[in-house]
Amino acid sequence: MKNAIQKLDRTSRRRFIEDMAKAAFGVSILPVSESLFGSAAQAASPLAAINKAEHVIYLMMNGAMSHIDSFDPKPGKESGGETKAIQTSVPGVKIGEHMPELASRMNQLAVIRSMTTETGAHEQGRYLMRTSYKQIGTIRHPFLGSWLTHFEGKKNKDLPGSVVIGGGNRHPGQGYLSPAVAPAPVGNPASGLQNTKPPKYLDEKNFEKRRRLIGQFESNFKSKYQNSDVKAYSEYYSEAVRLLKSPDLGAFDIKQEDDATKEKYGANRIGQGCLLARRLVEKGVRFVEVEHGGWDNHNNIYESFPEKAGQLDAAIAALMDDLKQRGLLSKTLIVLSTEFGRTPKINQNAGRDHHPGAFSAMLAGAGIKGGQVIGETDEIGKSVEDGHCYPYDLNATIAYACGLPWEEEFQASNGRPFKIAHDGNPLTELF
Amino acid sequence: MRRVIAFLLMGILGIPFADVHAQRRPSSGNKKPPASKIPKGNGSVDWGPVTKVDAASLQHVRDVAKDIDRFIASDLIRNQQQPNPRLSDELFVRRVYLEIGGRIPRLAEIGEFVTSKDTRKREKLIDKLLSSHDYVSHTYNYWADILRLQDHPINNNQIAQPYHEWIKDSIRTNMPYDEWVHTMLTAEGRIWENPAVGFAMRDSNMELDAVDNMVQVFLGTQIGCAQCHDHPFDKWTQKEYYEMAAYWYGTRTRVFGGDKKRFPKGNPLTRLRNELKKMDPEANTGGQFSRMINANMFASWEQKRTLKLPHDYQYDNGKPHQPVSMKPIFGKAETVKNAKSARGVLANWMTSADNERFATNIANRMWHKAFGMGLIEPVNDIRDDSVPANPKVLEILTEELLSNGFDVREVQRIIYNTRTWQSEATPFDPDPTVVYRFQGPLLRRMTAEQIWDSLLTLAVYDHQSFTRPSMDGLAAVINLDLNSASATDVNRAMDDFNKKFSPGAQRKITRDRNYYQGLTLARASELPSPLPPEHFLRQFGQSDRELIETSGRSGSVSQVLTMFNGKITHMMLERGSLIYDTVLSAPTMRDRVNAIFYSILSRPPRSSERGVADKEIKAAGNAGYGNVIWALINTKEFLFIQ
Repeated sequence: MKNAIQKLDRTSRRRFIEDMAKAAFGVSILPVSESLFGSAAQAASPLAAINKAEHVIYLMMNGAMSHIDSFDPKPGKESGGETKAIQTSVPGVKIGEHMPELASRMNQLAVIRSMTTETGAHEQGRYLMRTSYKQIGTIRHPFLGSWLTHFEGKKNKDLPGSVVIGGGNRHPGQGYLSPAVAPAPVGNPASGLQNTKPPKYLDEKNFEKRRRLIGQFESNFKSKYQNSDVKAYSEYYSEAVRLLKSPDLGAFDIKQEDDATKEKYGANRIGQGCLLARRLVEKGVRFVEVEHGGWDNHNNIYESFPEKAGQLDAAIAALMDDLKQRGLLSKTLIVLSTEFGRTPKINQNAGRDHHPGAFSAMLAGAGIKGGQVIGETDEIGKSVEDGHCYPYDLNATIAYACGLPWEEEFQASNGRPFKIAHDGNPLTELF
Repeated sequence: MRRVIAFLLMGILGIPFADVHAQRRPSSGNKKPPASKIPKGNGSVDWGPVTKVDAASLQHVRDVAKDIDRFIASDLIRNQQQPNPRLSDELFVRRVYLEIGGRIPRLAEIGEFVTSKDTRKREKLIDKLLSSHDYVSHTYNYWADILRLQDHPINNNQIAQPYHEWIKDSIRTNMPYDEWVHTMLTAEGRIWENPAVGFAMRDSNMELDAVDNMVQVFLGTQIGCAQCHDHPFDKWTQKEYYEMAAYWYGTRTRVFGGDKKRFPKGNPLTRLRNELKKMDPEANTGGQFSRMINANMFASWEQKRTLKLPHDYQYDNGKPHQPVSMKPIFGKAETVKNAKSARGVLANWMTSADNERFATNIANRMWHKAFGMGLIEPVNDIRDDSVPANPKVLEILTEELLSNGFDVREVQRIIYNTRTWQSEATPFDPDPTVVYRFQGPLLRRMTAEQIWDSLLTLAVYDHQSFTRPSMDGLAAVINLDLNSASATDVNRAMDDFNKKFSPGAQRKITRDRNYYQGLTLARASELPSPLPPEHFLRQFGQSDRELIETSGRSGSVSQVLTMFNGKITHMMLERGSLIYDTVLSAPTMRDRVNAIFYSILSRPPRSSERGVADKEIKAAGNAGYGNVIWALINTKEFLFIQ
């Protein structure tokens, strides 16, 4: 089938795919379905069988976290600011002083200091980071969590394939893929998924009856409006019902953890987010993104950064230890990322401004060779000196780790070719 | 009034609308039912009157609407497309209440409209709604998303609510749009003296970003990339960005405590804290005490300040640190010299009739708001070579603004009176590869605010009566002369502030008045901002107001769970909610089922649906009504605007 598609000339190929998509889904945007690209899922990366990441925990630092004050310190330089560098467990490698726990676990993690991106606007930067594509008006691209669920399927059929914790709006979500692989949002990790308990009087039989009523009352509307947003809601309804009936629903409730564990992660948003991520991964959720804001330090960076970074440090350390103890670290890739870096120059408000030119990311877990530092910036942290790593390269790396067909090209209904991680190339030396 | 409603209801539903307050629950027998926990509202609205639309311009509105319809129709014919069917009265009344008033219509409002034989009833309802508080509330939500209205932007010490009230007032009095923008761009003083300074305060100490934001909002143009380097996809150079930003660079928003000229007696914060310590060594000099002083440090004024190119400037047309002169990104502006205000010049240039993009942007935005798609897309990236989907229509709307003195509401009035807008929503996804010709609006889910306000409409008797506690009188309480104020003055300000204006005081007012199970029952425009991520409104896509227009309309599993099991849904099934009381006050099962369908979906049940509802109610008794209400609120028909 794939060969047949490739043999067609460009225009008729487009029409062919569109027709296929319309026949299968009644929509003009082509979800890459297994029936069309059956071979794609098998075209996995070479390391697939050995140490494939079955789960990803992706920590997104909203607002652009300063690289110079975290993983790429510049002690003794004016641009280094107030942050000192500390020795890590790996000889010769130093990171910022606000992350002592990660420093002591440096042998288990890898840092990329040569991240660089194309935009200094938050929303566009995050979009690029999550999807590998520029944000444009006519199409929405999927984030990696939806790609993973799309190719690998759900591990726990009752729970969502991916979950986004603490999220703002405008997350690209499943993009043009089916709503069946959409991430489920959880606003506040401490309260978990809300409204999962029906009122006391509503037993299961009654609930079923009410659901049937919905179906009977909306059948007219549903047959009239064939819009994808309407269909998406049907998907969310089915998923919500599956979830409500699942014995694993408790995975969303971090209150079930003992106090010592909660304390280890930290009684704050990022700590609770990481704890919830661990519980979800344990129950088979493929991809958990934890969003954590407050890094847009235009003003008085040293009033808030040390505390925030300290919380992040404790949370990731607890997450790594916990996953390891449960035998899950080797199957779970942990990624820490942000939309861009911050200026080496401290501005007149004692803050740092947007700096897309250079920033850092961190990886740990599944297949990652610990103790590595990839790339470097110049002596003030302004430009990448060596081995530029773009957002799509980071995404290709994650896709590679998960055994996804990152090299494969697919085609959207509008004729545009696309790949999971755009033109990204994985940093294979990390594994 | 109640008699009128009762009569109307008899007309369409045959329901004798008894005074439900006095009505006993049919099944309650002798036992007195417990008092309802749902607040009813006291009927007083303190928003002030809304300026009415101009009756005299109606014929002009009709004519322009017809012109637009003609150009849309000929474009459709040229492209061999059909317009969507004209909206039925029931679909129209629902859509017009939602799109102008931000909520679904009530039973009586539907009755009044559907039973009217007046051939002009659609334009009359449009005029009525454009002159209503519902319009003010809904329009405020629209701008709150664009202007990123937060209660304490940038810094917890900043109090922005007077600005938010001023925006509501500007909508209510229908202030001309050019005047509104001009006022925001030039306002000076503290926020309780001149609330329009809230605009400058939103980007306090971020002069470069502020310019990027205002160009995006008021000109629909993206120059942001050029802040750091020449724009890769548009024509803007970094130098042009700096020249434009130079106008705003002298706009100051925060007084520096160490400024010796301003504060000859020393930094007021240090001075007053020390004074308090002397008076009472135990006193807390931080917290609220400092907050009162800090709040007074925020003010907007202009000073002479020269913007320089950045130290890493890399292009041939300038050198690092070279001062830039002021120049607008396009068109011509007055020269800034001597005592002339730079941002005054900027505001004149921005809002001038010669700057066509200013009018085009708002015309395109209003079209986008009504149809779900702009004539130019995306609405925030208009370029010199952008081709509108229907150039003539955009030209007509732009011309209208220039000739009517920037009366944006009048442009909305025209749009809503078009046959094009009064068409059914397009029942499929438009093909993203071809131009959309506007056979009707796109099918859209309600905004988060529309859903919330609609649920309130169903549940609360007087949904409009719960306004946010007002900031009137704040100036008298909080204003301090930082050179002469004593610690006692600050303490007094703090005490008075805590009585009436602090978040705690406001919470107490709402808690006593309109709380239900921990939720403040007030329209979305009357709630704090930003709301916490787990709030109903945020779950359904309200923005956190950090970035321009980041609200969303997409669905999620959590939304479905909230609709299934959330407090708001179950409020509908409680005695004391408007819909519950209305249904039980209707005499027959037929009337009750009618009332449920009209209240929730603004239409009568189809015969098959009536069969299903009847069967359910016969089997389950009174609980059956609850099940039908619950099910209808959970249909997609409720969430989507047809």
